[in-house]
Amino acid sequence: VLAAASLLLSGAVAGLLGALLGVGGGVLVVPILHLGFGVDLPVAVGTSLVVITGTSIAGSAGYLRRGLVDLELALALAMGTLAGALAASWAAPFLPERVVAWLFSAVLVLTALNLLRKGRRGEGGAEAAVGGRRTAAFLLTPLAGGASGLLGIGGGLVQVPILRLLLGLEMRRAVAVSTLMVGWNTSVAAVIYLGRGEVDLPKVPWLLAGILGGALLAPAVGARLAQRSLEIGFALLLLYGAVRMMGS
Amino acid sequence: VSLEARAPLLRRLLLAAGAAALAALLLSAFPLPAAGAFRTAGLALLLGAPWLVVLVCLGDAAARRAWGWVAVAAALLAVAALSLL
Repeated sequence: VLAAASLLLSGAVAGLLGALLGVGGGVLVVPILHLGFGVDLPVAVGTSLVVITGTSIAGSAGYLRRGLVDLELALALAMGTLAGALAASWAAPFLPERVVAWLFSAVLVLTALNLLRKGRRGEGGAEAAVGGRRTAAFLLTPLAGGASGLLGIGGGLVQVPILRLLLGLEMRRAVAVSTLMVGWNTSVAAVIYLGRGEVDLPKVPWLLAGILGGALLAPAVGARLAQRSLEIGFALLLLYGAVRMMGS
Repeated sequence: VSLEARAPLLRRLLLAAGAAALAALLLSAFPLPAAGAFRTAGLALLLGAPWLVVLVCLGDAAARRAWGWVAVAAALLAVAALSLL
């Protein structure tokens, strides 16, 4: 009961912070499981993939309601991300765990830097609407899928910049398309990790329920918090997580 | 009719499948006789739900005779099926 409650609470904090700061679930779930609950890194990655599929479903439903999802663009780009997700999931067991931990640390540092830079460039950041670069976007999307398959993250960290900078989508539309595509990447990668027995199934329901609950609470809690302080505090926490992951 | 017209249906499908998956997975966490079945059903619903979107798009594109999109959606489903191997 205690383990379930702590997973539920950890998930709720991850869901709350993820929704408040626009940080993907995997960036939080993998360190929570690996550093907080002592789960082996490959199993933490596999478990995260299952959980993130759930958050992608909930997020996509919300974005579809608001008419922000460009389904045709998502379908057109998905082949590249899927190929990346499949290849990375199959390759993951052949990579030393230390390499995966270091790559994950790099993702944490990048996410922290993104949060710290957000305040300096203002809300939403600069739009670089270039457009018409679908070929380049298609060639780069396997990186997003690869990040999913190898590190247990959604891949939005790679996907959203591709959608914004190469295809000229505005931020909220880029996030909406990415959220839908994340579900496709993570579900196929999760099936491969499940097949290898690298998913901690008893932890999935509590983490998933916690994350979804935390995300639902975010609008109410967010109004009472100083956004910039939260971003800086969370960036420091991510940097601490990066150091711990490197040493794990 | 564009694929975007299917957004309300897709939203309802995702919500229904996601809620059913979460309920089944939560039930699987309790010591019930059918816990294993709930876990399997929950995982299948959870990992299958994103693909409902592609299936609906495939059906919609076929109805519109938009064969290019039919090919794209079918190829995505085929690639996703590789994960089951």
